Amino acid sequence: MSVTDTPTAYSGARKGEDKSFEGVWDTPPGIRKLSSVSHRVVGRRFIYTGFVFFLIAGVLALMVRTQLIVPGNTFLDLETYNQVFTMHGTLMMFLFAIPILEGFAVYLIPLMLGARDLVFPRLGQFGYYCYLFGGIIVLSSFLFDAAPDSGWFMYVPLTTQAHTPGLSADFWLIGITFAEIASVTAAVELIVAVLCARAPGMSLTKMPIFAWYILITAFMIAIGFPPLIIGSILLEAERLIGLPFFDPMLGGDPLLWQHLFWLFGHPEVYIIFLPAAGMVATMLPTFVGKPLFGYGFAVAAVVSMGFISFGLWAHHMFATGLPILSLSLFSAASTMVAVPTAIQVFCFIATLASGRPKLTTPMLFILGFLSIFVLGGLTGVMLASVPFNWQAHDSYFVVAHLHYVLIGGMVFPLIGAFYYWAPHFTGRMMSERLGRWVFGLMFVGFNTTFLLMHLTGMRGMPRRVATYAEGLGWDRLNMLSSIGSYILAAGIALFVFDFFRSRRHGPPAPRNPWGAGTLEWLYPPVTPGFNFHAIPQVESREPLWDQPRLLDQEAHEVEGVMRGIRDGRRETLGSDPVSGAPLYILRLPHPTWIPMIAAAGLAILFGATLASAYWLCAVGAAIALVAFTLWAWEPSDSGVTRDAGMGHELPVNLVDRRAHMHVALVGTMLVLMALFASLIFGLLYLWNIRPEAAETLTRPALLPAVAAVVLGLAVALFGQFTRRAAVADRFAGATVLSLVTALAALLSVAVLGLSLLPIDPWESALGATLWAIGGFVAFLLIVLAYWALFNAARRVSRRMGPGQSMPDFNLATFAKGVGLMVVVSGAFFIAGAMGGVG
Amino acid sequence: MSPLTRQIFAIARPGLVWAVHFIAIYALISAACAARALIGHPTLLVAGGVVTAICAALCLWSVLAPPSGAELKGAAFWSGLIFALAILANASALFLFQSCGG
Amino acid sequence: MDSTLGIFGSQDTSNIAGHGAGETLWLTVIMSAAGVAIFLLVMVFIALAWRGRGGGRTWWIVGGGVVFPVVVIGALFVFSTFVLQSVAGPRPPAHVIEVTGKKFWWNVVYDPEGRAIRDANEVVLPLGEPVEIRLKSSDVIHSFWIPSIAGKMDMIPGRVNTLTVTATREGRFRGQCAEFCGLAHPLMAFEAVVIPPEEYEAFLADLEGDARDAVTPQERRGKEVFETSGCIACHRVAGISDARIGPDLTRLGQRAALGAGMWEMNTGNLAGWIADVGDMKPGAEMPSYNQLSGPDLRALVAWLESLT
Repeated sequence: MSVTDTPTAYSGARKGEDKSFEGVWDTPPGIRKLSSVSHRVVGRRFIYTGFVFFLIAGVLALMVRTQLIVPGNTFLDLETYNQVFTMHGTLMMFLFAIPILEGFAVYLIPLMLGARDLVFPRLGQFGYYCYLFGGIIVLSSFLFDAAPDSGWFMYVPLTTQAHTPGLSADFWLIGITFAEIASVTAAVELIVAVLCARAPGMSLTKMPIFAWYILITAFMIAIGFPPLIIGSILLEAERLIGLPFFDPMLGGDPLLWQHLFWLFGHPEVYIIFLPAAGMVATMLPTFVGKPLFGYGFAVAAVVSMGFISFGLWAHHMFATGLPILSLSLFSAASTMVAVPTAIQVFCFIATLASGRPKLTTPMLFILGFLSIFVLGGLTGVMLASVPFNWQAHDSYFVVAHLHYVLIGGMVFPLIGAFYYWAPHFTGRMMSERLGRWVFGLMFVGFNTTFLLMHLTGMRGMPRRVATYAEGLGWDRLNMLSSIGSYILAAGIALFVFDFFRSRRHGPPAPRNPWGAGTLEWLYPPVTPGFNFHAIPQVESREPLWDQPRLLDQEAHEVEGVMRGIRDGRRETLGSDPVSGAPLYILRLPHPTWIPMIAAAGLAILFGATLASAYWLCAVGAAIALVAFTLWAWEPSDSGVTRDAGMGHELPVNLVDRRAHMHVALVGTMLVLMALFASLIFGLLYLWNIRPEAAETLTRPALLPAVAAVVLGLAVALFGQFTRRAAVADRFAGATVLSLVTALAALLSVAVLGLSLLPIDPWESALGATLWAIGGFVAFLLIVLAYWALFNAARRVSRRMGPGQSMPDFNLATFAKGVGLMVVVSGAFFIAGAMGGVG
Repeated sequence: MSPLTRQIFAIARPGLVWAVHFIAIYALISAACAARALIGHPTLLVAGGVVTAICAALCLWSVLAPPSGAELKGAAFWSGLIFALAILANASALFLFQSCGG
Repeated sequence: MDSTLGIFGSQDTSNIAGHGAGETLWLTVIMSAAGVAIFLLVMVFIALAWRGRGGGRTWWIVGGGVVFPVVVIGALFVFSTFVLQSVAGPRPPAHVIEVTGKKFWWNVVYDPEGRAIRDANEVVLPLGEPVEIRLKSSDVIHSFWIPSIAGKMDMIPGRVNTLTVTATREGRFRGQCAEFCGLAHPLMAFEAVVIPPEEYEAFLADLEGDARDAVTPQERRGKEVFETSGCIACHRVAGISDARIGPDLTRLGQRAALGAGMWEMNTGNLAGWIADVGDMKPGAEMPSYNQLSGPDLRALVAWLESLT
């Protein structure tokens, strides 16, 4: 607890602040609460905002069902109906399902793993505001009478200027891409949180199973979202400035959009399912009274699903005329994903069998999940069969299937999770009696609505039709489906009522009300606003079951590391990614407005793009850039050691591969590599599919392309030299090498541009794609150059002292990644120049 | 490398092998069946067969020789088995049809 | 938007009238039965587990999660592959029909590389003979689907997809666009008519000729209205105009439906269509001809109905 010799020169200390633990961790009151970076605050905001979008999207769903209740209905006209079903899908997939699950992860992961906050709290706040502003942009389209109406899948050419003039598609592309920033930042943040900040002794094998689910999901988001982000940017570029990526007349292909969309879209389904399954795997053992049976199986199954789900995308494209061999490949992969899914289901069943299950409300929802999801999985296997898919695709059979897996696989566990974790949000228990009614209404309503749709689809009713003719055998089925949807809605309404009722009138929740085994129940759930006065040693996957001392004492008296406050700073324990051994003291930021301002700057940038007010775009970009700079312009924390208690003398913010900053950068590189790979996929795809268009392409210039390869290597090399000099505390050397790295990066931009100069990007899709690749890499190079200059400036202005080399350490990793992209791009340009393109 | 680190790699490796195999098969089919027709059907079968044999063997390595010593032994074994089966399933697509068009 | 399309025949994947639909129905029935059986089996397992039977043994996971799915999936995949080969395997076609999806109707050309006989919104198939349908699009993505005859196939700008179908039963069957294509997507249907193969050649020959002559004075007036009011700028009527923008009307009176398979073909609907197409089919590119006088409209309708 004692503070060891604080060097007066140490830049990371906060002076004149409240030194009590509660004071340092206090959430600011009033309006300043918006500046909170606490995972408890941000996580709850994600959850509540996501739920609001769920309710809005639910109302849209009821409008759809009301329109279809009888044939030839005129409740909605065609245009409104198309807007309503488009927004229903869009809100549910992008603004409800992913963010609300990320909200639960943001809230629960630090508590379960024994951390005081997420590792990048400001990033959490930034992501939340991106999500909120992006969601508002998408929703505001209703006010401008420009709601997107081309389906949540935005197929080209329907969404090009020619067929969707006006702003509706732009609202979708810009708003959703903005909101997706939140998904990607949360993914990086969660990867690092799981790997770098766990309680002492919590090795990967002692991690709660939920953390495994979230870790795999986060990796999937990091790789799965980039194809859609790239697709959206290409499509917006086609709409805005006419680059012909998808135009078949100029060597583009509408199917490229479908490939990119479903490369994201299929993993997305598993990204939604896995965290929810992780919640089930967390709640189930509590009510059975025994640990999850088959932890190793579950881990293997989740890892397998994470991989295999990326090999299924084309089963959304079985009817597009792909070669039968391709169809067969995707059909095989699609059926194989049933194996890890079945393993998980049987892990749950075996867990049920291993104890005495209690039929609480969350348990009811788990049983609902098991029955509905199994049926949805089975129809999924049916859809993997190519001939069957040709009949069922884009019919109501698919509507039934996808709602079985998504509502069964995600919404049922989610409502169960609300009942289970409600004490964390309200300090009170929700009603078991009303919970049963909620479940009953939802289960009956859901099955009435969607079970029948299998039949409606087999009777030939296509999806996305605003109306249908009578006498085709669909009338009664649709009537019943609509009635079922009202019952389902009544269940949701009752849930909302119960939630608000319990906030006031529910019985106060005791400590660990369900008798759970995971650490989030260590403290009484009347939320204190901070986690863990001391971080306890963890010896099992269910510490609250196996380490009775944890619950025998008052929570704040529990023994552990990091008790007290050092340097007046918020901090948590940085641990070894694999073994969970304490490695360093991880310093955390205090409440700040900066991330919100950065998000607001981006909101201005995106909003102004929509309004074609380009001077305002520049203002927004400038605000964001200044905010990001201020964000990073802070004293470095590393370079000293402190006593962490329990005999641990630990460095502050380790400079090492295992440090959270570096793991986060690797995660970010994964995202950037996936973005780059999506562009390369597009290039190879168009080149392969349209050889006659490739013939006529103007060739890139050879010499600059060769220079790009050389300069790409130089960027990586000088980045590495900068790191070496910085780690060795060679002040002048590191500064000069930073400048050289920046110079090499800027020269790389120049030669990439020179190589592409002969090509007119408006002339052909392939040329436009080459420019897109060059533009993307150039953007990263400029970021790299800015960063290198920024580091040099920080060093010269003494913001970084001896031993504080983390920024250069990270810069080197970034430089190597970007250098690789420059080399690969240069190689493709050389191939093009040598005639390989034609 | 600690035994646990080795275990984690043993769980992840079959997945990476599967990914490489999937990309290879997809690329081969795309090379053989798209307008450009880079390779012929016999090349497709031979290359697909070789890639499959190597990748399946790498996966089965995790199954037959799982690293010992830590608690996730089962996970490495099952991960190897699931991905080996998935690799064979993906490859079967190649050998059930005589041409790109069925 | 009241439509009476139900009378035009089945749009049901289980009311089979084609080789593809028939083979696939078998697959559907067997997979559904297996699916229901497996679902019930899993529910029985859950019930047993709930009562604490067979408590948490690894073989449940190995058996239920690995062995059983691999066996079932393997069998299904092989079965499905056989059906796929039967449905999509190469068959030498006896006829070729080119269908082009448009917002929001279907352009049909029989024997596109030979006689190129044009029609619209109706596809006529000979019983028992394989027909290669070439699918194109001139604007956005549509999908060609006659559930009773075969599975669907998309129509994608810049590509030509083919779907080989063999009808196995005579009659009228309803097809519909299955890919969301914009405003009037739900109003984009068509008819597939299966006729005896020996009548097919006669049908094509009849379709190939020029339009019937106008006989009565009203019909002649109708033809004049057609020629002078702008109709000929978009619509082809063989012998009168060769425009390709809207549907071919040479044999309009022969079709059973109006507006791409959406309304019963009768005098009232046809007059309503011409006078106020925007109301009957929002998003259709044809302008409403509500400026035509009553007698002119009646004459035009009478002439169009005589084009059999």
